[in-house]
Amino acid sequence: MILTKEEEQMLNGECGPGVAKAMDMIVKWGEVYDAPKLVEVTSTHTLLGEPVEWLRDVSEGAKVRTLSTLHVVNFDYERWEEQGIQRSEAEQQKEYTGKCMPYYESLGLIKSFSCGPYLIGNVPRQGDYINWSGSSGVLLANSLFGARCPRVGASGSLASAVTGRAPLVAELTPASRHGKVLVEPDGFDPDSLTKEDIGLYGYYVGGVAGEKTCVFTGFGRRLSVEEVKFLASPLGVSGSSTMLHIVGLTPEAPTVEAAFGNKPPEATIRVGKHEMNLAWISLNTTESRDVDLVTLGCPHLSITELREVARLLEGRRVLDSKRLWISCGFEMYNLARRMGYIDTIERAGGTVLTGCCAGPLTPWDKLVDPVAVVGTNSARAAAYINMVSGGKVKTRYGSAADCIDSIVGGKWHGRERWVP
Amino acid sequence: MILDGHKVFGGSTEGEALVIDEPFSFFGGIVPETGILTGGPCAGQNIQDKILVFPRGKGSTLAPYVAYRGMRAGTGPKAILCNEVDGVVAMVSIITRTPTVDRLSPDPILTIRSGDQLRVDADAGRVEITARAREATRGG
Repeated sequence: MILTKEEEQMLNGECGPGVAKAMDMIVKWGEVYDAPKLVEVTSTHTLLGEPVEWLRDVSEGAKVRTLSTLHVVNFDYERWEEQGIQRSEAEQQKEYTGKCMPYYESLGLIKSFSCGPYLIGNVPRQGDYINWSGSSGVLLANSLFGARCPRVGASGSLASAVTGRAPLVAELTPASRHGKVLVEPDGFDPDSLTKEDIGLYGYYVGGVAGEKTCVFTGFGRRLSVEEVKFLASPLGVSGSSTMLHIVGLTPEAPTVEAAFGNKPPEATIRVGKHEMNLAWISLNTTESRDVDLVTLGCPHLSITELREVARLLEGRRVLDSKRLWISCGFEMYNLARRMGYIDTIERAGGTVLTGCCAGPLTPWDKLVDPVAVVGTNSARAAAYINMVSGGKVKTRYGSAADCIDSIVGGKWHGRERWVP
Repeated sequence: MILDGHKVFGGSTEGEALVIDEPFSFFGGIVPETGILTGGPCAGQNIQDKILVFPRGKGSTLAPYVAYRGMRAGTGPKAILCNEVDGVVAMVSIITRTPTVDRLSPDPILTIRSGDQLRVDADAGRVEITARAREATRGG
């Protein structure tokens, strides 16, 4: 592997011990995949959860060399009592994060605490090399923005933050980003799909495609950023791909042929009503119509989505026996506060959580009042909640309106379009 | 019997194989404090000081941090053998400095059985089965 003079200096310790340790990891990662050289990354996004001792070593004498944002924590550190997290759990987690915080600060990591870096100013350009962790952000960065982001362990993203480099592994080169699997709707018009239908679609396809890059065809209209979130984010749960092509929208997919690099697909996945029903069944894991808690905000809500939630709650009231979590980053919260959306949500009895994951990372077994059934419009959240709770927490999957109706009216009446 | 492959992280060691014949993640797959596997075909067994054999990684990119905690607790494996490492398993090997070999031929999942004694020379990308497990310990 060819290193520049500056990269050699980083590796041999001339830029401090933390940089040397991080550069050693970057070089070893590159050697595994026979990378010819390193490339400069324009941004990173890193997960919390580092062993404190390792974090101390890698940050010794180091400052980040690129825009580096931080991912979510697992509950709201300010509103944890209102959120209903057990005190012992809250104190333990906050103590751990408190030990990490001085290192984040000395490194210069941006304390964004969001799973949507693209909503808070970490917006890659087409062709940028980046190293993000957090599968939903990675999928959007690669598929919507056309950035080049690898799949690597979380420690690799922090090593890129410290060195500003990543090895030029094959998956960062244009040819390896081509699609492998063609996705075709069968018997329905993709343009007729609602957002939650789009979530089902992505969830089903991810489960079949695994790590392979999919090419979605048949959308006659340009999906909104929020719709792309609904399509892409479940692929990181049911599968492990880091990229998808939406023909006509993904920068590298102006046509189907371009998405495949003028090669034939390795396989075709046809999705009809039967397949959508299978996805619906995996995300609706109970017959119960009594939803205890609704969570909306996986991935973190945009200002458009916060406005939609506020409109759905205008003049209504969540039943005292039910709970509503809305989750977003601090910036969207401030904007929504200024727009009056937060007041509307809070007047209706909702809890707006900031800087945390409300769903996949929630400590479901550490709630003061346990919940049996959670409603959500996020396929990603529904799949994770079933998985991480070991099936103890069941889910109802539907639109944001279905979810809110169920905790205002008292019963779930989902629009069960995919049930034969 | 010799298997030849590709170095992921160097080093050499000898020990007993534990074969998990499905994709594996340290995140959710082990309890780092004890090294005990939480699920899958080898649920309840311990990876500590074993030579861990699995086809490929899966799941969360947090795996390296879990594996690091296991290493510090002394519950980590002696070596890792895979068909193909992804960027997550590669980082597990790098952060824990665990000798690791992938792209082995013949296929390690079909060739190596739990309980076999192995000699791993990761720098040379070479694995030798030095003694076969007795029938009674196979498959576990």
